[in-house]
Amino acid sequence: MEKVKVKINGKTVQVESGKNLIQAARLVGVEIPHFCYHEGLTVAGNCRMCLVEVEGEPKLMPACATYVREGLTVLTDTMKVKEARRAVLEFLLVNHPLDCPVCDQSGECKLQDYYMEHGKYESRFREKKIKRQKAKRIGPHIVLDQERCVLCTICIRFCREIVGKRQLGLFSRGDYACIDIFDIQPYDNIYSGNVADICPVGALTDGDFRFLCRAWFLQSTESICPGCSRGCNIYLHHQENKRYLGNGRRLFRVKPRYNPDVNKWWICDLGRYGCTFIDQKRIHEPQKRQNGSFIPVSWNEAYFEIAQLLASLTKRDSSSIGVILSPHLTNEDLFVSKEFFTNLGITDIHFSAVSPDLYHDDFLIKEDKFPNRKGAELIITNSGVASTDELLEKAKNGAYSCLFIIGQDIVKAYGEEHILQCLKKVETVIGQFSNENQTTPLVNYLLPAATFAEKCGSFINFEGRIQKIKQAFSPLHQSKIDWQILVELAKEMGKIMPYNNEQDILKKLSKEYKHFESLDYQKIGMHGLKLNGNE
Amino acid sequence: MAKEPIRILTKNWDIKNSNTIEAYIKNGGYKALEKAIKQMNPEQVMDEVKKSNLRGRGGAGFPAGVKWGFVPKDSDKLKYLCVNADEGEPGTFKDRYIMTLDPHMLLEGIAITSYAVGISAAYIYIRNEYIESIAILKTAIQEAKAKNYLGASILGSNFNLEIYVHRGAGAYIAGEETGLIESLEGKRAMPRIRPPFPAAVGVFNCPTVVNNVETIACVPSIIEHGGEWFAGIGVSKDGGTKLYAVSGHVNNPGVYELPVGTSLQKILYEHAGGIKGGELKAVIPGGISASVLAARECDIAMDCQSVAKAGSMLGSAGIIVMNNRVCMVEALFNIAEFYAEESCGQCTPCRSGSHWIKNILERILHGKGKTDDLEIMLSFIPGIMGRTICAFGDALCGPVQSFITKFRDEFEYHIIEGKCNIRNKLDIL
Ligand SMILES: Cc1cc2nc3c(=O)[nH]c(=O)nc-3n(C[C@H](O)[C@H](O)[C@H](O)COP(=O)(O)O)c2cc1C
Ligand code: SF4
Ligand code: SF4
Ligand code: FES
Repeated sequence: MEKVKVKINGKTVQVESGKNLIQAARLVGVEIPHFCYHEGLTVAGNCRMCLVEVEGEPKLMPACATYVREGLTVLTDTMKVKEARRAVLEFLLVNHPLDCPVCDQSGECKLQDYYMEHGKYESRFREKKIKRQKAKRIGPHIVLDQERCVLCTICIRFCREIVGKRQLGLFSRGDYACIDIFDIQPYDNIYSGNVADICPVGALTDGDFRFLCRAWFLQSTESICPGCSRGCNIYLHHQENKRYLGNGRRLFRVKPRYNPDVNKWWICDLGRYGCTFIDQKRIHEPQKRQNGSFIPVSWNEAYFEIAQLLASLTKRDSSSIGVILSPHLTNEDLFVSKEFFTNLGITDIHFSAVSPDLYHDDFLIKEDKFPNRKGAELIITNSGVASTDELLEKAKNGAYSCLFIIGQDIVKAYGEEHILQCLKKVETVIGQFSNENQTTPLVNYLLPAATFAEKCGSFINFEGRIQKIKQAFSPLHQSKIDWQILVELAKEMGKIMPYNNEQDILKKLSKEYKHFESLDYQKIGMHGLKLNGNE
Repeated sequence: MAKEPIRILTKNWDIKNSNTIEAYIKNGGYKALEKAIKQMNPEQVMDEVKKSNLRGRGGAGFPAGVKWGFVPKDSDKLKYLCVNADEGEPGTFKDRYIMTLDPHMLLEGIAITSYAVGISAAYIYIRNEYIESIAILKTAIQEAKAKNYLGASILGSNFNLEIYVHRGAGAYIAGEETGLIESLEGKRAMPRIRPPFPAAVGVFNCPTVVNNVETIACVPSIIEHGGEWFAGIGVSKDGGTKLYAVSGHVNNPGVYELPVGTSLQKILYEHAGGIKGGELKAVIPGGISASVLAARECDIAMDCQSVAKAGSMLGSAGIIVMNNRVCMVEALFNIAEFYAEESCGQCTPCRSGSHWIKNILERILHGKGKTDDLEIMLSFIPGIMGRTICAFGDALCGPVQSFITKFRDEFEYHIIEGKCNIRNKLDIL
């Protein structure tokens, strides 16, 4: 890319041509305030908040719509610029309802932030404010407050340019102009939640987050959406300090995290609103099925009994145990699982990547509903069976006395009838799951596992990009991270697996697997890394 | 030395059935088109127009030939002409006369312009209320096509041109050239941010020339008589005659064709019949977007530069005359109400500023003014002027600033006394 030299507030900087002044200013640490500009959308230039002085131009220029060229000299902090910002803010607040105390955007609102930084004038407005529609549910997830809108049209452009639908529009003229849906056609699309993120103010907010928690109570943790093999980068917004908020939920919302190579600024609604499983229908403690009903047992009891069983079975015949893993597991979980079972001499280890839901599109959503199929493919090699189908077939034919299932809801994937058939001749089913699902009622031992939000680790997305997840909070109730359960079980069986944390595992993994060669979390970085062989 | 009145645009208006092609041809119509096509190449046509110093008649006064020159020659995209017939500027009613009384002059101008720029499709974006003009234009287009002045292989050449009449969407802002383009494309008339200018990226993302009706109607005579002849009629850098549309308190309101640079006094007193119903108080010289001139400032020549020097603008040359019975607070409120209503609403300063100003003026009119209201309104101006996507913001500021500063005592009287000084006096009389 060709670079040009520009001077911003006296600092000279090389900027790729084609960049605008908002982007260029960031390179010298200057943030030019703006409402209507979004890097992922076309430029509207309507809010007039970004006006700056450009040498040789008599008028102030919109930084969002002014592009760098060789020798351009820009000033962003002159009196004239400051006055202009103040004027825009004063005009924007003319009809604003000033209901910040009950606004979910409060604390992360550009209008608030810019007013603190650039506004601060005495109110001179004595006229009547224009009343508009408030708290209007315009779709399954989004609530519109027309009075808080700054009419930047970001939402309209998002809808048109990213979703490809015209579901939001600008109505009326002049100061009566407002954003709305067309007639009674709802704002309903699979990316609908994104408008709440990009609306710079509290005009479009997330109905699912409404009045749940003040934004400033939330902590933010970088993660990866587990919803499909795209591996969209996300933030988990959570808090546990005020347990009285949100009816005990810890995860309050999911926000997209910018990754230029994976999901840009966006995530789909399936991922955004699908993560609630973290706090719902969780398995609280280890359980064992006795006379048809589950009774809680301690981890020690569970380990003891399962260790006994595995030991006695493998002593006789290691091939009497089959293992089904899930591409929902992290590379770290998969590696430890593989090692654990291989150490016991078990060879029939496979993962199931079957999902009944195949919805996909040509934007973000992939047909493959697992975040780590690639990882599973790379790690689960040299298996005694070619597929989970084959493994299940063998089970049906009585090949296994014990089936160890980690993270895969096989009933949901293969249907109840088929699975019941397959399990008929299996004496003991051990299941390690985070949530209750259709398979959990069928197991003999149920071990509570952590969700992706409760652990660190890595996933490999559909194009071979390894990305890391971080732990937002500790595993709920008595649940434990999958690899940890196996390390402890190994210990119970007198075998030490020397892993105290994910770093230890990745180190070993990177030594044993060519694709993971010399990897560490630092190298993976916040935007992930394409693995060798996937350039 | 009394000169013969020069009639270029109005020359056919008195003729019977002036809007028919027969009448037009009988008076030498379509000769210029024939000359352009048969004797000149497109560059020569464009050069003549550049030489003529023809400036845009729609408001901004931009030299027409120069604008045409901005259209890229090497582009392989189609090029379009949009004739701005929206005529939305209050006080302006000249284009309608051209279109109803001499539609073929406009069509001939369109054909010559299109030939010069390499355009094969032209739109006349016409104010929806101009029902009569719309019908006349449509008939005229059929007539011209029948005689091969339009359509395919015009006059045996390889030049083709279709002209479409497109009815406007009924907003003042649809007359702004990029608002017009958006509207023509079927969208809300919301002006586009520039650059790119329409000459590079206009309608349907293609290079587009946007010109006012009157501008285009000047083109046939420029080609017929030569650019120098046209330039010689007006003043330096501002050639030809101009249609001055005079309304308000004059005895003979109407459209007058006079050389660019004719004195305002002459227009008002010799042509429009002098002030009606009182003494001259103020004149808005170029449609309501132009700053108001107090009576004492009205001794000026009516060309772009002279009016600009007087602190206003020639604009569309819609001259609005006010006598001394007019309350300036009421007049400005009327204007402000228009702007508040017509702002497209995309730019923050224009959207909220126009409405706020209207509200303040309304309050003052109702006797509820506050002493700092005038300062508040004036303080908005730097925040609006030059800070918006289109010139609407500037257009709103001119009247506010000029009315308040030039007639401040009237505004103050309203604020302090809570009533109108003018009405007060009239009642006493
Ligand atoms: C708010 C606004 C309204 C306008 N309305 C008209 C109009 O009704 N007719 C017109 O010819 N030009 C109008 N203009 C000017 C056009 O933007 C443009 O300058 C003109 O059509 C160009 O033609 P010209 O160069 O021949 O004057 C308007 C401009 C603004 C800012
Ligand atoms: S609703 Fe939000 S994103 Fe949409 S125009 Fe208003 S402020 Fe902008
Ligand atoms: S200045 Fe006013 S009319 Fe022009 S684009 Fe902006 S809001 Fe619309
Ligand atoms: S960000 Fe540039 S005008 Fe809105």
